Amino acid sequence: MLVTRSLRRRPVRSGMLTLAVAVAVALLVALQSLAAGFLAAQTAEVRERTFDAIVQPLATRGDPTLTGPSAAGIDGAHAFARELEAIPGVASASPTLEAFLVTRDTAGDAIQLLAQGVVPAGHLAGLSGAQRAKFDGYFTSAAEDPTSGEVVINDVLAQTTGATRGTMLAFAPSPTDPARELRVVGIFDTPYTGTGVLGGVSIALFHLGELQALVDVDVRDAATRIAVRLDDTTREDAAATARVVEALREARAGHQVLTKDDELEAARERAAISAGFYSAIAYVSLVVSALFVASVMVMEVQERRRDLGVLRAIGWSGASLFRVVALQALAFVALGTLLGLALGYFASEALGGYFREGYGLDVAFTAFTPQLALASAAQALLVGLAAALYPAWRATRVDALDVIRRAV
Amino acid sequence: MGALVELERVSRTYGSGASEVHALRDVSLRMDPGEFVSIVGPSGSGKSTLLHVVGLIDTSTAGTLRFEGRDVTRLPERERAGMRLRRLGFIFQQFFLLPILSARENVELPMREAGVAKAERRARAEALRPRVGLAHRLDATPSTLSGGEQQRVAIARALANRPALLIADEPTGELDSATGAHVMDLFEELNRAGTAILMVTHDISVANRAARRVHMRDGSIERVVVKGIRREA
Repeated sequence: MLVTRSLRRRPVRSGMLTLAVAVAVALLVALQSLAAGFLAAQTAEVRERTFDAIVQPLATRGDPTLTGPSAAGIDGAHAFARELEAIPGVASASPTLEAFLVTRDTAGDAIQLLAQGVVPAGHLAGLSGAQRAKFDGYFTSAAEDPTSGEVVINDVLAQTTGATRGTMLAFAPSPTDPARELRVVGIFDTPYTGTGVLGGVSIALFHLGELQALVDVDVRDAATRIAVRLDDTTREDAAATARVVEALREARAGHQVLTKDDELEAARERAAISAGFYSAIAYVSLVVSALFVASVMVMEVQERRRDLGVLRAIGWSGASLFRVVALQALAFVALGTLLGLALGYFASEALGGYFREGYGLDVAFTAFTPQLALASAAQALLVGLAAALYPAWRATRVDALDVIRRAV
Repeated sequence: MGALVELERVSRTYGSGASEVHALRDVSLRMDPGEFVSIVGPSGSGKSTLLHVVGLIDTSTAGTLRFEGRDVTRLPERERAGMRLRRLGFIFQQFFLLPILSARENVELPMREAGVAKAERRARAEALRPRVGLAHRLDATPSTLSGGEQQRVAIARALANRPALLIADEPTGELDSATGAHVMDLFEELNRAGTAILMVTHDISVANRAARRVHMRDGSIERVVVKGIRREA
């Protein structure tokens, strides 16, 4: 009764206070939802891949500029892939070369793109079902054809260059290098890679040999990495998988093997860093709102000193006054939390939509879950409880005799 | 019959050294159950301090205070609050009603703290309404009530936990003479029904309503007048 009436005593102030808490809680919910969403999206992407391990050089070599192989470090990629395929339990090993190339946009200006040279069959086998459907049937040859003259581009590059299926596009390592024309045989929606968002990035897929020739590294048969798939029997046996991974590690010096678990761990670490950053922002805002609650409640106690003194005079205990003020502060926080959860839900949806729209990807970048809502509410209430303690204690210090004397 | 309130050489001093003020000096007073006692005197005579000490809002610096035979001079604040809640009822000159609550909710305040169930609180508040002369105005907020009505709500609040002693500090001080007279009629009715009353007033006509009148000066009892009989202290 006393608590609910107190809330209505100054409606504008109560509204502002509730809104301040709501905004802080909404920020907490939305940012944590974003961090959780990114982790979930990365985790799902890694899990969906059918590659079990990636073999790549320990250190990046090659041209440090944006032309040429971006991380070329495997020499004799085809031979190395065959070595890896000879390891019992390995179903396939498919080399990939990544490099930055340039082409021309519709205005004739040079634009940079990420080029991937792949063995189509091996590359397709390593994709998840949904992603494989994007590429299947584009290249005329599933086996590598170093003279196919074909390229598959993403929707971003298609839009920038105005290319459609059948268009000839010219690619070169740099604007001053001689270009080679290839025919666009397919256009795909940009996938979410899990290690970063590729929305907005121009991508082109080549037969491995053609990209090697374009970037002039075909002499040493260079590749950036080799994606390895295990056979089904080995994949289902953890001990056998571990043995194969060990064998992959020992296959050639100077290389490392990244398993799905390693990638998941890396994704979790990245997510933890973003979550920590987001949480820091949210907690600062929560603490500021708690200080606001505490300040207003101290003011409230000061303004209602007479009422509190009268209650003390007629026999209310200090504990009861403490409870009344603490409950009032908690009521503000609880109302703000409820409103904040609703705002947070909508903010989370809006953020997810913003990233989906911005990157042109159909991925859930936010994860608003009941657990997240409950955890956020619990944190907000805990902070609110802490904010209520001081004003509630101040209420117990009101001296009834002093109040009565001052009134006379 | 045992005394309701007994003060033995009670003193109350504020401050120390040169700024020391003796609000009460060796005051001894006995009040029996069902008695109506008024305390009169000029400003600074100590009558309010005496009321606050008996009402367990203030503590004496010397002497002994017994309530219903129990020594309550040095009770811890928690127990004093409990006694104020259950055995004493307070009526103030400024009424001191909580403005955010209705009249009924103000009356229910002491009962809530005492843990009286909601139905019982409602029933008691309803029973007190005619007793204090409040007709159909329990749902109004204090700001919409007249001074006399506010004081009646305050009296109902003081009676809510059926106290042994009503303590009234200038209960007619803020009221016009006609309304004040009605409030005093109510005090007399309550007293006839067995409620003991200790009242401070500066108005001698109001003080005369009590069976016993204690005159104070400079922190001491100057004389006691028992309806027509005068005794020097």
